[in-house]
Amino acid sequence: MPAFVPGSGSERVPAYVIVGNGIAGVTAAEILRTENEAAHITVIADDPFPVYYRPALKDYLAGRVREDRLWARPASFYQDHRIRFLPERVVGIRPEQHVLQLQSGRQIGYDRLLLANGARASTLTCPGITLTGVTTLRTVADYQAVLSRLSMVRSVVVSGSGTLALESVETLRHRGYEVTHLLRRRTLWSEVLDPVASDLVLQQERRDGVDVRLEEEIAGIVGENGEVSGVVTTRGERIPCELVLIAIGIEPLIDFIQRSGIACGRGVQVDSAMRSSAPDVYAAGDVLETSDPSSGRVRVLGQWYPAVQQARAAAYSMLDLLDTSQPFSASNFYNATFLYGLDFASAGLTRVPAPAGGHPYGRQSYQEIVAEPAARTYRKVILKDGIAVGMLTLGNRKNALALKRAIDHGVNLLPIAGQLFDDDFQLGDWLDRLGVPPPRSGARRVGDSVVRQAVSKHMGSQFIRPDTIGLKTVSSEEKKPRPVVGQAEPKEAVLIHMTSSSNPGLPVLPEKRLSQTRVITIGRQPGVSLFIDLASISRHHAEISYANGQYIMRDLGSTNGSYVNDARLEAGSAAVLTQNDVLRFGKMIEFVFKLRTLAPGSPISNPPSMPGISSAEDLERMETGIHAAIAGQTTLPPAFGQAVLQADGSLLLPGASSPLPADIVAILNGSPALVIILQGKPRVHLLKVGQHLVLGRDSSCDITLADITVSRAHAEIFSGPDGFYVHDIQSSNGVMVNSTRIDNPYRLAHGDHIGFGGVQAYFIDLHPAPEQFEAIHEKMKFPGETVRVEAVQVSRK
Amino acid sequence: MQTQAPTVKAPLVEGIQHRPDVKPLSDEAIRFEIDMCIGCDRCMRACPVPLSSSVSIADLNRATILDAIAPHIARFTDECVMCGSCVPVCPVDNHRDLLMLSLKQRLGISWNGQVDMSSLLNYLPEGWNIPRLLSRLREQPMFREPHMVPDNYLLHLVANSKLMTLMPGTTLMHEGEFGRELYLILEGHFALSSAGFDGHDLPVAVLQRGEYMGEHGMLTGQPRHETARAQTPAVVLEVPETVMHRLMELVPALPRFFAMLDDTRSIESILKRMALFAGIDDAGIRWIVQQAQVKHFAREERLFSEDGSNKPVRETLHILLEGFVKVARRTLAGTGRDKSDERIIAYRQHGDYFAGGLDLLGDSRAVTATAITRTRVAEIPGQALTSFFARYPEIGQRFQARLHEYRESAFVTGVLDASNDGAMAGLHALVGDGVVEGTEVLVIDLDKCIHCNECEQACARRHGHSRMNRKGMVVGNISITTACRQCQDPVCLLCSRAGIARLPGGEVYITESCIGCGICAERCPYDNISIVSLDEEMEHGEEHGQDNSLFQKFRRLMQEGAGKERGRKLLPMAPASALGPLDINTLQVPRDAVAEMRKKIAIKCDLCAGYSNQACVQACPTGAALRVQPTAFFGSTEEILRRRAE
Repeated sequence: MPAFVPGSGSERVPAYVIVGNGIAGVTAAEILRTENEAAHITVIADDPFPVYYRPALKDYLAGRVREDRLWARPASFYQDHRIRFLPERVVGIRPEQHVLQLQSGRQIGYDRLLLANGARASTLTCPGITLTGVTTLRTVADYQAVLSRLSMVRSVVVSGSGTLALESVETLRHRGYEVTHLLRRRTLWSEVLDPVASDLVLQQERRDGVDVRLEEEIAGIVGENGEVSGVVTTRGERIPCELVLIAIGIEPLIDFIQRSGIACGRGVQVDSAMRSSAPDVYAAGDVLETSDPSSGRVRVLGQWYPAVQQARAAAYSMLDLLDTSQPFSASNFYNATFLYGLDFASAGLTRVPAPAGGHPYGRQSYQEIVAEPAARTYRKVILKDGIAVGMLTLGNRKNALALKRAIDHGVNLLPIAGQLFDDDFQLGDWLDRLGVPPPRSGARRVGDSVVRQAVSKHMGSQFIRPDTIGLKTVSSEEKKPRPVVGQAEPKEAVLIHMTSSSNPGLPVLPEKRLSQTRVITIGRQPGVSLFIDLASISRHHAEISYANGQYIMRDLGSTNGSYVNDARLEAGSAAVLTQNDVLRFGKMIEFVFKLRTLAPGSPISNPPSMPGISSAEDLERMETGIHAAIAGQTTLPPAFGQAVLQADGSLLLPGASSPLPADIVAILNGSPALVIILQGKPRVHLLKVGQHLVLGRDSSCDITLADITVSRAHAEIFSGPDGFYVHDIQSSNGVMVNSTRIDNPYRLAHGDHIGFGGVQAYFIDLHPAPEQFEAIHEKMKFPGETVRVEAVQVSRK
Repeated sequence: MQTQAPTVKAPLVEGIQHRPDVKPLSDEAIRFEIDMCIGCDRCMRACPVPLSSSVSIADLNRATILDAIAPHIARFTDECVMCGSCVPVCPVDNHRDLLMLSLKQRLGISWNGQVDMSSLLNYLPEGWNIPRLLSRLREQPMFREPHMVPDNYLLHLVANSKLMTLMPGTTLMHEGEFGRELYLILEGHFALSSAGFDGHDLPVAVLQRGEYMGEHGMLTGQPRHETARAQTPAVVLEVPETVMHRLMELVPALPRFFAMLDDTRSIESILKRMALFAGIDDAGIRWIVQQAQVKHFAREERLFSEDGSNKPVRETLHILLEGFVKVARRTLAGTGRDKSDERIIAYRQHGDYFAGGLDLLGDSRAVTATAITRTRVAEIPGQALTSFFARYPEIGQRFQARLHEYRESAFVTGVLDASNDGAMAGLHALVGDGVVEGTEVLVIDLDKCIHCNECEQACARRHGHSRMNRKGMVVGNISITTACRQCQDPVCLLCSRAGIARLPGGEVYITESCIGCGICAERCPYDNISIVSLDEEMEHGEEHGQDNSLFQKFRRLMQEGAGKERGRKLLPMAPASALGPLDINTLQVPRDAVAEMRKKIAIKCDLCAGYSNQACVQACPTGAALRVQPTAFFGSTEEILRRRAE
């Protein structure tokens, strides 16, 4: 009589489609994958390379950043996250049918769609705009064009009044070019700066020798032989130059979105959960327009940090995991940069709104507190009825983040208005004393606040804040508080399944390692991190988060309940886990929560009953130098592990009974290799570029795997342009890479754990030479080619 | 967000002693800062760690917020010295140093990791093995408790130290030389001796296996007190100061242990030297040492004041174990030096003593004593003294006689110090600006100096950059240049990379391991260390049409060294400090040449260590530049006072 009912296992996995692979698209894709390991994720973009750090392009222009350092994600991004990438262009959406129309004629269905296709640079429609040497600044290609032209340039005209224009002016001026800066209005970056701040920055520019011209724009561009030779301004003046940079803003790419009937203004319009007017269509990043709730003004932000937060909010929203009680407000975000050498930060309102007709409140309720004027600094806070609603600091960012915290939580700053900008005033400490929570940093996942509350409650019971302890001692030595105290070494946490003898039919679940950077979800829905296919488990049963050094379990409203040490957690509530807690999900599945020392085999993890040298066996180990790694060996299940390099140079692979000798490891140092564990013995196959190996049970294969779970011809390993690939050739039991079955050729990375049916193997590549070192490596003749080691079988085709 | 209320997530992190105020970021703040990062790479460009040139900001960001930490990031994290160079350059106000701290916390303590014992095995004496080595180390009193100092820490300690087998008669330490190594005796006997008043060696002690030597030098930076000679064949572990410091950070019981022991030994040795206590047997000395209570005072801290609560019990004997102390008395407001309301009566330095609040001056009024440098004082309470005098009446008499003598002389100094303001001001300047702390000072006789600046130029010619500035404090006709004075107890000597070290002769020099993080420069109270960027130098070369390829950079570095004068003698390399957590990763991450190239270095005067002369003195056409030992040249503070008074 089976005491359990297996789950149906036929849950449909959702299909998410993201248009765009900039920072918004990529951030959202990462979250979707983290939260749902099974979902189908597709990214559609016309540029195959994932996101680069766009704000760093100014440093690229300055020659300070190499191009290869601009990439914010590795080339293996899609593969790492198991994302299908389509290098295509979207031409239309049919929201009713949940279908995307691509330029190639292909149609792609989606369950939920994220529009993160960004914006393009605005440009002018004046004569001469097509001349060589006239460019906008948006993409790497734009900057490359500028860089390649710089050698023939003496004078540059930059048009625009935003930060991009300012940064370009600064960079080019520092590189020694004559720069003219044209601004449409009297102020710089008028969305954020007030006239005082703007003047201060413009003064910096002028002091540095930039020709700043206010209320003057490009009326026409003149050239010779197709190349720019000068600019005619709206005041009729002619400025000779060899390069014209147009940095007058961005336009969201909304053509196909608007055509599809989705509400757009300057950009896509969304609600606080990033939902557009069409069902299941979300949007994030530069394609959005945002409206400021206090002024009602509509802006296209075009900034990095808001894009990341919008993407995070959108992704959580698509997963139905967005904490809508604390929505991210794009108007309050911490805006920090350098403005022509001056440290700048702002949050919230930066200018007192002019009293508008019909506006419910007048100017009177606003108050500006401005710091004592000092050279090249300008700092102010805006209060509304005493409550902090905005700040702007230029030249000195002390307390800026604390001010944002006060703004986020609507703190009344009137009591300290007089000392706010004093040098020795620590606003952060003052807010601490008031018990103001930390600043809101962005979009939050559902449950975050419950988890944080649980942690702070737990901490409160055992932690005394240092400032409340009288630290007055005699000697100055003692007076210095130790910078950090607490647990001696970092631990990792695992859930160990407790098998019960009364229900022998229950599945045996492997040990689950908890993460410190992501939430572990437990349930019957495919895609959760800890998948338990039993009917007594809810689809989304519980989750375990990590915050401030603690692991916290939260029940997700499960039918049969989640228990910590036999106490049922209320639906939605959370509990901090401690060592050896027994976690039960439903009636039958029990885990023990264990914390253990991170470094496997470190002797410090020995039980304390074994102080020092206690046994002859221990002595011997130390003598031979294999001191570490062995202590933990017996407790390490093969699934957990990473290859452990031991003190004597040998390599212990999880699942192998004997380590690889040091001399062979030395050879691995020079060449990528496949290490196959057969009957507990490691076998090394060095891989050569250009090789193509077939693995299988059949003796005609290049590498024969005598195991019944292996198909006759099971898989192939071949070298591609960028490394070695493994490919399943229609084997019965499949090829698993890092516990995931692969369908397509998979590029191997060092440490990948490969399963050919039941045969375990590891891909070892100790020198995955980055491009910059390639030349050196080629020159180094690897001695291993002449060394013959018996245990090594070098396969040759 | 540094404004965040304190968090509890705070595993121990090594190597941040110089940042006692550091406050780790919360998880949320880490996430916020990573989201803020725009990848401009300025932090990595500002980073002095050579490896930073091969770590991309994208990789670093991902390691900071994801579970996996790639080997090259782990190694970079370990090498990060938390100097904070990355913070002011960040356009978006991030705290990259605190982000690195969070990575350090996650990686844990490197000494919990595995030990590379391979190199050590070659040095083991005949017949020794690791268990024997460990059991010998366990004989050391501070290592007795395996649960305080785990085996793995000891193995790391050994792997980073030097194991030496010595023949009888070998001298390990020379009295008067500078050295900061600790010697653990694993086998054999050592005779400790010290030069007495008559210049003959006085045997101090015989140490054997299970004991150790050199902790005084290690803890205080002072020259060795004793000479140590092997009496039998011996095995010794020479532990560099940085390695010991690392262990002390990990095992907080160790610093306490050493402090206590060093206190006892220094009091003992001072007492033995004091004429006052001459002729007392060891037991008597030991008894009085046991009565002493040791206190530490930071710069500017008051030992006791005339009216304050720190007023000592009358007749307490204060012995200065370390540092300088200013003894002053309150006067009418505005009549003292620099219009202050105090009059300085005397300066006292290590080895000096005074009783009660009286400074043995015989005045019934108390005085205020303020530490000028880091100061350590042993206090022997009056009761203990009384019973001591009862046991050794001749000491009591000597003490009384001394007191009487002082009362007589006090009349003279007490009256005259105010009438000789110019001289006093000079003295105060010398002491206040720490010149007397120095062991060797470059001075310029302004009567002879023709302001040709040849000294600075000669320095630059020899070292590439001038390590001195001719201008400085002027006392009388003497200008004290702005250049390192090789302090007796240099505060700069605390480098986790062993980038600054001291030669036995006392020269404090920058080693080849220096990466120019600037922590020592910040610690120097006299601004005598500066940081130069090697990159800029290279870029400078480029402007002058030099080939700037990597190969050329190397060639130049190899052929010319950092300086421009050819054929420089290389200074001894300080031993590399602990490699770090991830010694195993040295195999996985190629230690390639680019990643090893330093971006910056510190420069400071090392008295032209390695050369036969000093460039500045040599180059002076008029003989105005002189190297002097401040105590010999200006006289000890006491003598100056007396001389000026006459």
